[in-house]
Amino acid sequence: MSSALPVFASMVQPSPSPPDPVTATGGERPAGAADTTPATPEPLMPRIAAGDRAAVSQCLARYRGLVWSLARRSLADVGEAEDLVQEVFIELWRKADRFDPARGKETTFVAVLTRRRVIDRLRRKRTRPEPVEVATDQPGSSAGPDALAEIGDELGRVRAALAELRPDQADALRLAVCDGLTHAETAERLNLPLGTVKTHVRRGLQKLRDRLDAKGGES
Amino acid sequence: MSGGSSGHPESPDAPETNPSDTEAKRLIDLLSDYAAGQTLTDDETTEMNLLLADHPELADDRFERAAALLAVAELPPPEAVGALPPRLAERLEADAERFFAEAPPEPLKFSPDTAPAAAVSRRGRAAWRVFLAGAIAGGVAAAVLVSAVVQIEDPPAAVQPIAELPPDQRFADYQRDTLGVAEHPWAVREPGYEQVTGRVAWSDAAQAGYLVFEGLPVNDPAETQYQLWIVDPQRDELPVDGGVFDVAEHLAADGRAYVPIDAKLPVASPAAFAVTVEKPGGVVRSAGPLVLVAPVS
Repeated sequence: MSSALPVFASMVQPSPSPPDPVTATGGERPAGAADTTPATPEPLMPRIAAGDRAAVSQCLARYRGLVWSLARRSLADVGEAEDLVQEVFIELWRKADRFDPARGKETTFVAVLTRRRVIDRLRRKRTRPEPVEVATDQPGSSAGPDALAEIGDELGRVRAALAELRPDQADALRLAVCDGLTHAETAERLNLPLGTVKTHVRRGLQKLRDRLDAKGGES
Repeated sequence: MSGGSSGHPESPDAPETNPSDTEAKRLIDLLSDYAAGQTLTDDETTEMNLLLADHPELADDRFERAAALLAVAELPPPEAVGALPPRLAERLEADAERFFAEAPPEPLKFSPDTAPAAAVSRRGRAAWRVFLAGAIAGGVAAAVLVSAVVQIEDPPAAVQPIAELPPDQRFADYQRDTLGVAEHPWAVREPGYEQVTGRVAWSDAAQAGYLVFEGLPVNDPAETQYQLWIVDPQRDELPVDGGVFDVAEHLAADGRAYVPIDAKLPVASPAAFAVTVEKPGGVVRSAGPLVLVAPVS
């Protein structure tokens, strides 16, 4: 998984420098610039829905890094994260026929389903999650190259929108969405009024959504 | 937690989307909270669903996708997460084997239109006409409504999923994962079906739904099948085929039948859902009696 990372560095690893204008905004590539964007991998869900056993193995290979990373980001207990990964893949296979390429990329389909299950677990626990202590200023490299290749443009737009937020807005959004904290927990962590945090998270997420929609989003 | 600022100018708090009214703004806030993983109270959940019914144009998963993409964009490097444990990789492969062993894929099923037609009662035909006229009253010319025939572009077919959860579990998944689900109880019951209770659950945004029945007589698939029709005057004067089904196939442990709706065409604004009894495989032109109706209020 990590061996291929340098190839995708411009897509998945935002650095302190401004995002790449092509991959970050979805803009037109300058004339003469080489298109080094990896080919978008073939969707696997339609094949899984049709009963293709080989596609299931490919699905595991392509998305297990993404699902595992999303699980570990919010679930401190390794055993619980492992259980969640199994739960997500079984659900993916069962619901493979629900994937509609007209509504979004397959990687996003997998990520949305994984987040739902992570959130389910966090809500059930009713305790503050204990996110893995990681260096989040070097994010995005643990999901698997094929999965990231498919959504590189969308990730660039998200990062561009995030970079336009004030630091406290971006932090509130990260804590709520990426670390699974409640508004109240986020307010406590950032020492901000609860109302301010709610506004930060809501407006921040709306900004991301609008940025994804601005150039046609994924659809 | 890093600051995340790149030194770009501050942006205003106002969203780029400019909802036309306070209801839409409130709905957008609730959808944002939901997508961000916040736990909505029961009152907030009810409020969100009511607002979604008034603003179906906002009923989609764009906030969830934005949140998921943010989560992916902010993923830590592999050394921070740690590699996927080999034992988990083995368990996943075993899950895959078991998944296919327990529920091998089945080919597409289609019952050719060769079985004898079910008896059509005069009362059933009359009820069908009344239903159509009532369901789309005010929407379409009455002369068209009482023609009481059903025409669809394609013959019905049923796809067998490669694996089956219990029907009630699949319905629970649908309710949990689908935004904008509105529920409509069965309100018209023909003789022989008075005991039937239940409802239709449908999401315009997802174009998906479920029929829930308690007390619906089990059909003999060799003789008849139930068929769903969706009345959508905004789309067409002719109802959309919602698929055929057998009760026994969808019965759950709680005694209810949970039937996924298999709409053959996009539905814009359903006015009613109706169930008829037809010959096996269903029909493109309804010949069977109308037995249940769930009008959309």
